[in-house]
Amino acid sequence: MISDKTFIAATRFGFGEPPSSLQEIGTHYGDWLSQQLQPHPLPKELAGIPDSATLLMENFAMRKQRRMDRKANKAVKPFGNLLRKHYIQQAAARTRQAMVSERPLFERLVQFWSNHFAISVDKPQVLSIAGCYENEAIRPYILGSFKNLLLAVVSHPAMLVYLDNWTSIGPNSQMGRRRKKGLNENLAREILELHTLGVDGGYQQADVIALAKALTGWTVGGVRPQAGGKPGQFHFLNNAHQPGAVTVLGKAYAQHRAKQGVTILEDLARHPATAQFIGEKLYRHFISEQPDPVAVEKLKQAFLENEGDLMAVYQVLLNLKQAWQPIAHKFKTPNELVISTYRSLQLSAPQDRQLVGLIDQLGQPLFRPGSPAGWPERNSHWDGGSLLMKRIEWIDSLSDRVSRSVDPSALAEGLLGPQLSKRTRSAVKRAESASQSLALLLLSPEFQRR
Amino acid sequence: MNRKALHRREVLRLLSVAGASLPFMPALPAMATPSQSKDNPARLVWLQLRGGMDGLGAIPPYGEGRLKRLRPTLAQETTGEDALIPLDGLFGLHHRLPTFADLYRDKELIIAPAVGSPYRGRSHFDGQKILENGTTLASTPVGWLNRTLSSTAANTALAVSPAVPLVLSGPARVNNWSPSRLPGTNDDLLKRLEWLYRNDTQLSKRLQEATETEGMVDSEAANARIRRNRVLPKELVRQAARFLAAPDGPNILTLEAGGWDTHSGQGAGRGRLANQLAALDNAIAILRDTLAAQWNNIVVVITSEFGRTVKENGTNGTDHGTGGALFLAGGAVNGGRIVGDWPGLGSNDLYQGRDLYPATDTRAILKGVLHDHLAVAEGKLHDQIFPDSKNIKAMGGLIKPS
Repeated sequence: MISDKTFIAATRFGFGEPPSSLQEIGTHYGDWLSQQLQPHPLPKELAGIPDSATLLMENFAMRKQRRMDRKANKAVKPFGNLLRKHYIQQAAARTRQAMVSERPLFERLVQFWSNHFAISVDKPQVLSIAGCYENEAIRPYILGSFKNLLLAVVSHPAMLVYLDNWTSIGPNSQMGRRRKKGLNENLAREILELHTLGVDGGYQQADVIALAKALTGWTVGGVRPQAGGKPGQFHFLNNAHQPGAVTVLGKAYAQHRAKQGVTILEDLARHPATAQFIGEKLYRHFISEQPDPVAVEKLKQAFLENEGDLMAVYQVLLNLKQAWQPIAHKFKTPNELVISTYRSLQLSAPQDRQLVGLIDQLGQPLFRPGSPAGWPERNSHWDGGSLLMKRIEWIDSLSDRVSRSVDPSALAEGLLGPQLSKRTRSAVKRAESASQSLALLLLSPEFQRR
Repeated sequence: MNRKALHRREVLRLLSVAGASLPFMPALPAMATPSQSKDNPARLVWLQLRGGMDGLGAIPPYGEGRLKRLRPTLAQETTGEDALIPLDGLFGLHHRLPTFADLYRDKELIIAPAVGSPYRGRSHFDGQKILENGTTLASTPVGWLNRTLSSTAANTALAVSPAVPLVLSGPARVNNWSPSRLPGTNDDLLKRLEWLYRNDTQLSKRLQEATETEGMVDSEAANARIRRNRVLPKELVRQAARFLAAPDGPNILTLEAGGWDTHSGQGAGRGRLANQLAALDNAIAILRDTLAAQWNNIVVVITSEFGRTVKENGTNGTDHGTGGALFLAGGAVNGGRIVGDWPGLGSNDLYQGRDLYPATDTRAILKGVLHDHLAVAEGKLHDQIFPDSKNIKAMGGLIKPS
């Protein structure tokens, strides 16, 4: 019989485990979690994906061709399908990786940070690189310092394109004075509001503008011929950079070129408001929507005392008593539900297009949260009547297909252990068929939450 | 601050051609008599545009000479293929809003070109929260439309969206629907789920709402391919209209549409904003045509969390602003008018030197609609539904007297 803590380690910190794995983990759940937080090479599932620079240039080339064809009144060759193919390959790969990984806590953290630094593919220029962005700017940095993660994200072409910074021009820069084009505040605003200090973090509009000025020139290479730089990669274009010092949160930054922006980001990465904001977000994601202020303070202090070293913060998170209390407060998102269902039943995932389409149907189109704020950490966002009905429909149809290979009553005990309520045990036992029995198990409150 | 509102109105009277005027906010009549008949109850649709719709793009004040200078690539032409639709000498409609123009001519559209919630930041998320919760604090988790349900007896509401939006969130029960492409499920499973969820407050409530709403869906329509990436897909809007038309259906319905955050490549007569407006226009046309029998007692409120910057930015777009546009469309609307003060686009008239000044508080208009169309008692408007808002007078005259 597995213990509460084993179950919690697997479902709250991981993505769920089959009964055999829960038995194996047993009382060593602490070690099981820590060993997942070791650096490791890029997993096999993700190895076949081209790099973002190549795909971004492909995207831009096709858009340019389309513009030229339109001007010349030629028939435009549609390329949406190719871009969508990349998108589906990447979204499916990361979902499959979460289903099979021996480091589900690591995968969960990748998804957490990817959502914190969200981009959204409803902006077509990033459709084919959303997964690449996650592999290149998030995955390698989540065990290090927040500062390095932030710098990787802000300088990644996907983010620079998504939030329009790549075409932002300092008004007094060479290009600015010539072209009378100007500043775009989008990235700067979202860095302050969503990535670091948070909307109540104490910044003003003037700080947004100042940061935006510092970030002018942070662009993508090789897209405009005169801009230079390695195609599809971060390129600093001094001609577009707003000259002069800027003041952010009362401090003056007189550095030149990209160093100005880097220095500001480094300071934001160690700001107490950032530590507070990140602490709350981690609590909200892992434990509950109502953060306990004492726990958040512990996370904040861990962040500040260790200069934003994320491993130190994770250690505190994994040791919070709130993290281990048996009541599950978090309703599983569609993504979590699908991953945990396939993991727990050890089913092989459907093929790419079906898999991605399924999670979309359940209400969570992967890499398309629709805004840089990402998916909200709110149960009420996912449990609305219509989304609940869709889960029911999917689980009903899945259970029909797989119930022959499963013994639902034994599974209920093995899977939920001490969490299995009398009511669920009874419903599973009295169902009219194995298929209905499995459906009720998967739809049980114990499986629907973590 | 020296608002030049009076001066503006004088200028506008001189320019006015087609007779559209900007009345002062008339005082609320002592006894509003909304039209409420059992056969055709008053219906309200809240259509929220998420992302900050550019009011100056939807309702171009082409009569302001400086508009072209402020927006060299975004100001619409007054002649040619994509010319705006002039309404009076000052305001026009974007040419991709022909249904709106028809409604204006038929006196079924009111335009408010410079409105805003009390929110003065520029965050979408906080702006939307304050627009939807009807207070001055983003943290309030209950929407004003939910409080309207709590304060009145005869109204029922449905959110047509994947999740219940904040405007309808709260203690009063509402239903929620959005289309599914999954195979339907059987009644026996649902019955057993009801039993399984009996001790779980959250899940039992949600299951009940889900099963109630599914009972009202036209299954053929629901199975029709609804393209997910479209703004206000036709089949979605049609189904929303059918919900409203159903005899035991909701009389309050919410819809939403994103894609309005045009920071770059906004376009003038053509482009991103034009395409968005075309989808919006089409949605209103579908509502009007599908709800033909009920249209004369419907008000559709269309607005966004804020407008956008007056000057275009460095990437042929606009950034988050303050004052924005609001439309009231429907047969019950006392339309063919432009309401609220027009603050103007002169540099001294702008909010913080960059945004259109929000001359009318959105709540003034919402109160007017709730009072005159849904018979909500005036006392409730100023403290229950919109807390701490006694200084915001309800705007009268928005609804046709019955």
